[in-house]
Amino acid sequence: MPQDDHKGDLWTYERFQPGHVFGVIPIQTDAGKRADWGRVFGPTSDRLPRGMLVTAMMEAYIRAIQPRPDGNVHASQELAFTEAQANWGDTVLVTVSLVAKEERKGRYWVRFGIEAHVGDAQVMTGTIRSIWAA
Amino acid sequence: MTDRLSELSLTTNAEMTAAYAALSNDYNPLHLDADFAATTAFGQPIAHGAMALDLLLNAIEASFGQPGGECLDIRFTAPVKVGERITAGGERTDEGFAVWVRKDDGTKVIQGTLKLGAVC
Repeated sequence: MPQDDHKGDLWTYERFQPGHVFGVIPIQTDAGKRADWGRVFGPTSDRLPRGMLVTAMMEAYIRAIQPRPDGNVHASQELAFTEAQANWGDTVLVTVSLVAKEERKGRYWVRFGIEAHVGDAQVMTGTIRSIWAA
Repeated sequence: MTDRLSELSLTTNAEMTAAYAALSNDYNPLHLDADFAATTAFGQPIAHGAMALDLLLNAIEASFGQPGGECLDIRFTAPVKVGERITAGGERTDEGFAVWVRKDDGTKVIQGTLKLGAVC
């Protein structure tokens, strides 16, 4: 198995390689998260809101790419939802990858890929476009 | 089908931001620590951008349910200071819907497009 000589090092623009998969992060939509969701947006039915999939995506994006520099900017977002349903209590498996990077006008633009599954069903795909700080 | 999304509003506050930090595991002090935020260009804590995006998704879901095939493409265009009220909505266009989240002063904090039943 290849060894990651950079494990524990800061994720900088220089290190990013298109096609790299940072990991598959399990996000449990447990009772605690349901309560926190309710504190922000109010109670829901047992069906998982689309927004909670996005929140799971953001948690996975943060957890998968560590340590990271301070000051990254989440600039834009693409999302596509499938017909598959998710419910509170499900574990959402979020795959985070590096799609592309581009240095433009002195800024480090990075596009991350997201795929979210519940069981075998794909529930959401998307891309996060960020301006990386370092 | 409706020509306008069902609008939803949210008045942000510190407790809500703390709950969203726990929900998303995003404890960036820019959102939570007034002393830290005072040292930044924002001057005071700002709400998580994804919280405004979630409000938009709630408005989309309130309007159409979860049919599948929803394609959303948005940009974050301005910060939301904790304490400000935001409203999510949208209007039909030739291509789908122009969607937005805006503050009470009219500043759009999210702008983008929604297509339904589309291949993204």
